[in-house]
Amino acid sequence: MIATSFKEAIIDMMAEIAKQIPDSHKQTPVKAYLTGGGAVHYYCNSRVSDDVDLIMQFSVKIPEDLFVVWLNDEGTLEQVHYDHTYNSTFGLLHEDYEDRAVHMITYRR
Amino acid sequence: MNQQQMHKLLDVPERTLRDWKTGNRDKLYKLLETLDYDTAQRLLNMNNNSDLKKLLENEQYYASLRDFEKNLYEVLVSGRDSKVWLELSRDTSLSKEARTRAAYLYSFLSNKITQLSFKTKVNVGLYHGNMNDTGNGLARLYGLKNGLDMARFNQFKMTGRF
Repeated sequence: MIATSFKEAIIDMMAEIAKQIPDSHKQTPVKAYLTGGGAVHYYCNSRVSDDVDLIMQFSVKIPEDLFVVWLNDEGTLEQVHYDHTYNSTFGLLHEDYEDRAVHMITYRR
Repeated sequence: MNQQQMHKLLDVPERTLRDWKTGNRDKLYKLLETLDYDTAQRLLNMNNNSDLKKLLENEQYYASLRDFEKNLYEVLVSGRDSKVWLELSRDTSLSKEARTRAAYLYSFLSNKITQLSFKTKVNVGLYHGNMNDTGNGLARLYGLKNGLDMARFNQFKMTGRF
């Protein structure tokens, strides 16, 4: 089923990333922290970007052109891209962001 | 186009063309005269989907990705109505692989979704020789392994070559 909202599209993106992790590497849960425009959307439902910025504890091999599509209210397809250029070095992050993060979804394969 | 080229392209007798020129079809004649022969031929071909079918059934016609991409990119930037891909996705005379590719190209050009009449997952790429799984969400939507290489397509759009 195709996602029908930006939120669902982000969850689809997480699922796609989860698929990239080989079973043999799954020793412990791999946590991913959504930041940037995607996170803002979860808090105030406004769209500030079309890409997904993630902080992950482990290095995960993600396809270079990873994007998911979703269907908006007007019946038009939109794309959400994974931002490979994002890193947590430059932007401001709360020092307790790991503890204060809100749980979105746990994806099990 | 001159009269000889019009005759060659449209198979209309030269005498009829002369009548058009001087009679009440002079605007049609002027239109033909304004068109370049190659452009007119290309426009005529647009009315015939055989070139698109060739791209969709690329297993049978292409031995190299480069040749396939060269022809495909030209078609995609030609200004042809994207609905033609929708019609081809419903054309039961085509293989399921070809229909899936047509649906993908329709969505790529129009940002609209279409429903294929079959559920079987095709295990092919947009080009038959490329079996690499990629992160292309639009291709995956229709069960294709991969879609257009956007870097190469953008280069073609900007420069006319890649």
